[in-house]
Amino acid sequence: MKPEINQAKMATTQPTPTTELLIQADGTILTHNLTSAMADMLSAINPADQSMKQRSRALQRKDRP
Amino acid sequence: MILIESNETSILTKPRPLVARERARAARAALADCRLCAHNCSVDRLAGEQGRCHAGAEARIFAAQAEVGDELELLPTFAIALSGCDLRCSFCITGAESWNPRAGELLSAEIIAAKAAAAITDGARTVMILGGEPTIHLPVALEIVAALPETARLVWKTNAHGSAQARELLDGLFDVWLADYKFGNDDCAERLAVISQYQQIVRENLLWANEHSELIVRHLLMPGHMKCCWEPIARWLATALPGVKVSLRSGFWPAWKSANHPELCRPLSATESDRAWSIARDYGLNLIP
Repeated sequence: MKPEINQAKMATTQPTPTTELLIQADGTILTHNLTSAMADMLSAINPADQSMKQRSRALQRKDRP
Repeated sequence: MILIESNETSILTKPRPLVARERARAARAALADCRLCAHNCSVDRLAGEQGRCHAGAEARIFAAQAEVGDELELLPTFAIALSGCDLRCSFCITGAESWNPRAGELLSAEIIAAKAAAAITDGARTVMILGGEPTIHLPVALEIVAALPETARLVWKTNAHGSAQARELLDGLFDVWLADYKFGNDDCAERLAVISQYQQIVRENLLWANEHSELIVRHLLMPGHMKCCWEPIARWLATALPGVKVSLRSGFWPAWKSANHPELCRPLSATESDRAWSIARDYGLNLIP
């Protein structure tokens, strides 16, 4: 039998956007599922990180039209 | 389905949503004798039998959100992660969901596609379907494609362990294949992911993907695996797929069951990272950020 899908639940209980961080002893931060908000924050913490800056900018198009 | 073969990609002769819907039906029927991945279990998933991935006929989703952690040219991407996988990588960063196809929520393709479409309207450049491993949930993955706008740029994020049958069902539907090449030899593949004939299968998939779509080959650098894994992969890519886009990922995270393997109990060292990039340069690989 095909399982029943609670469409209202699907629409409302999806997990909120989440990023996981692993902060290493040397200060290096590894990320997984990097979201816009976290990219913005990490870029602000370390403006010299060009890769993070690019990722932050990628989302700025989305979040700040 | 009639396909027109161009020099680089397969071009559909009918609208993508229509093709995807037809193939979703074919993929669902194929679950009765499941050979979607290279394990070729031949179990009847429609009747409740389980193969190596333990997945049933329905798919579940454990994440769906806009992300910026993947390759820059794909960003922002709306990433749809399906539970379950046909591999058993000890170091899987989503091991709890990837090893358990019943993790997360039952998936409504229409609702997820609507969320993806909304993300595109908000500026997402691509929609990425991933896992776990999406190949084992091909029916629902194709149902999502059928419900997406035809103009959406689609990324198939895969472990490159699919079967010829799966590739045929996917042909021409995704703009980009983002495919892992995880291990540089069969011994490491067997030991770390419980998989056999890995080299043959992954290479077959990569060569096919390169002929039928845009291809980005991703390799997660593993501590202690420069010589046995990354170097042979780099050599093969330089020879068999010269110029292919290669994404070298240095953020190894000793997650899930990494502790079962002493060399995987730590992140990548700076020395190893430098060595990996040196190997890439030596082979003239086309690295992308």
